[in-house]
Amino acid sequence: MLFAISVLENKPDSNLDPTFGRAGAFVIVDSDSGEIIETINNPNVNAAGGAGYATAQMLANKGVKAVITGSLGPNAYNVLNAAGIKAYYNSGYSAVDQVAKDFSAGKLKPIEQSLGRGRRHSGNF
Amino acid sequence: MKQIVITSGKGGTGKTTVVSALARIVKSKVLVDADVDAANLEIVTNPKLLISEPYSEGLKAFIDTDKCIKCDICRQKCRFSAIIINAQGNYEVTDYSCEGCKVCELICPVEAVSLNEVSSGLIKHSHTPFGNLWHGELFAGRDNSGKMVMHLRQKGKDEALDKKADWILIDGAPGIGCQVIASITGVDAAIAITEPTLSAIHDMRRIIELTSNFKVPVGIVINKVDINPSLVLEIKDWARSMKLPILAEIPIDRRIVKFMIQRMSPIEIGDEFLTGLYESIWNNFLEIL
Amino acid sequence: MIVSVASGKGGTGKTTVAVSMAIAAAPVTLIDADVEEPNANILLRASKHDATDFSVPFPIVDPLRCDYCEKCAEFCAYNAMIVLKGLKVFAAPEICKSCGGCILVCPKDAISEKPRKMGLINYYSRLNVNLIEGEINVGEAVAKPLINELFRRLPEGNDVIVDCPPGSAHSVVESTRSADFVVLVTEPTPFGLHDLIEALKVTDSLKKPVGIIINRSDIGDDKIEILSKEKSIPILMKIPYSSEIASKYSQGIPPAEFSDYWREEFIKLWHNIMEIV
Repeated sequence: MLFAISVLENKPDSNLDPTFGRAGAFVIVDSDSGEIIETINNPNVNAAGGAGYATAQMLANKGVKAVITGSLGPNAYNVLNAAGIKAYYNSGYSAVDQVAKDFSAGKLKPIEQSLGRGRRHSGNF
Repeated sequence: MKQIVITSGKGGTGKTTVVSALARIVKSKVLVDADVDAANLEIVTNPKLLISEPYSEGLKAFIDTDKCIKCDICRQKCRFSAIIINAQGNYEVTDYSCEGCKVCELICPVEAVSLNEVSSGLIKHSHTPFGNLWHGELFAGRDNSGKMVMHLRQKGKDEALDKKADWILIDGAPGIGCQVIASITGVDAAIAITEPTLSAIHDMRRIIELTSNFKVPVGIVINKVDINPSLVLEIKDWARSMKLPILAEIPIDRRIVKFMIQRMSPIEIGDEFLTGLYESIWNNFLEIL
Repeated sequence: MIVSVASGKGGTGKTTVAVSMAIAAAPVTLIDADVEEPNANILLRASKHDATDFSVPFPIVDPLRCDYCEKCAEFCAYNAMIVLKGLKVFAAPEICKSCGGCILVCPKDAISEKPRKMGLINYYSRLNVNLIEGEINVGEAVAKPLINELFRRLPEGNDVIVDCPPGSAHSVVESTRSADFVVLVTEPTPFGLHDLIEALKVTDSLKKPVGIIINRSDIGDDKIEILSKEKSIPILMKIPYSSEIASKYSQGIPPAEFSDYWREEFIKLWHNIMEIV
């Protein structure tokens, strides 16, 4: 299974970025081998709006099954949910390898619901 | 590193004056002026410009009159009424109304439409005695879509991470639209400045509805409390019912404007009581974080 | 005649001037185009006699026809089309600008539109002032379509006063474009001056005749007056700081309503503007 960690910079030894939609980059890890298989720049860092939607969409289409981040807005949460991706919480700016280890050890708490009510939806979900 | 936005809903309640004071109180920070439409933080922070570079908000359509066959399809399909027939009888895009959606380019049967980058403002980076400042200048009449605000915040975040600064202080814009959403999304907390007038209270309720949508914790500063003491009590009651802390109550003091005209903050008046008030904003705010 | 009341800086007294002038000029139509934070009725204190929803067209994707080709997402200039391959395709409500492009590019005819409510248009009336107010929902990002709709609802042949949004960005262009005259309200401080200069760039580019009102005229310096002389822009009125005006304003009572003096002054102002136009 692949999981993604939001990170500050596009490098394997970066630190966790507590924001999701506008995180600097993502590290994608294979949970079976524990290996980092890819680091990707987040193209949505400067998006005026909808960064949560676009970033969640990007990760969904990468085939990840779990996401680890510091906070998740309602738009991103809804997209991840629709794509069957689970989100897990990690605070602060911890090192990526530590976050990955904690996740594999089952130490991270799932984000059960979006942090906010979000902008009003017109019922498309 | 934590990002803090100073916001209000209504304009003129004293956001920038509060930021100018906090700029002098809070150590280890980067400043961002997110009111690119009326960027005033530079007036009271004595900046030395380091960089100023052009900024493009996006694409605008352009019609090549030599190729255009005046079929009128683009004008009919443009949802923004941006395509007009000018005095010479030619089809023309009104720059201000064009949203860069590309529909006209898509449907033009003779490829007479192209989309070009249009310069919409300047991104500025300045050194101030209180930390570096990222500020922008949106050219008059340009769309304030929030993109420039996001860009400035990203630059501020990069610099804060690089310099290991503890805080990013963001001076917000009035309103609740894109420019304000862009200044609130992803911040760690907000300070809402209001005043005891029905208009300011109405606008503060709307901005707090917005911050609570984003689950951003908020503290309230009541400015110009002498205008209407009974409304101050109403604000306090409401804040209590919403479980929002009041960080400070600031009286009207004509010296604040006098010092602003000399491009200084209320801190520099040197009045112990006044300085203490502005310091209490920050000290009380640290407690809610 | 259409008179827009604008200001670069927020909180200078636009709404106070707009409502006072409307009371003085009645019968008149007042448009509250500050749809993000509409405050005119706080000062007019009229009861609402009608309200209509304001909606914009919004794309709906038929999951039975969609084959996830992503052409809509590739075309969308705002990244508003979200494609989760094999699962779901939908438009993000506050990001979509209703351009209709996704419908045109969809090869399967899978996209149609339905109205999406983004705000209200409220109608009020008092003291012979008919107020039409736009109010966008909290969380909506784009105010322009609602501002434009307000101008489509102007009654024929009536004098109109427009309370504009603050700033000098595009929403101000929208709300001053059809004006015969623009009143810029400012205050004699560096902030007021800086933002007045920005607002003048908008009125200059639209080639609108303008006049300045200096609110709290005695709190600051004389730089606004120097600017007005240099640019030959008339100063139409000066309103000195008064704790009475501030206190009445805080309760939602504009100067033209509680003070005969100010009512006369605003009547003079209105006639003055009519003469200039």
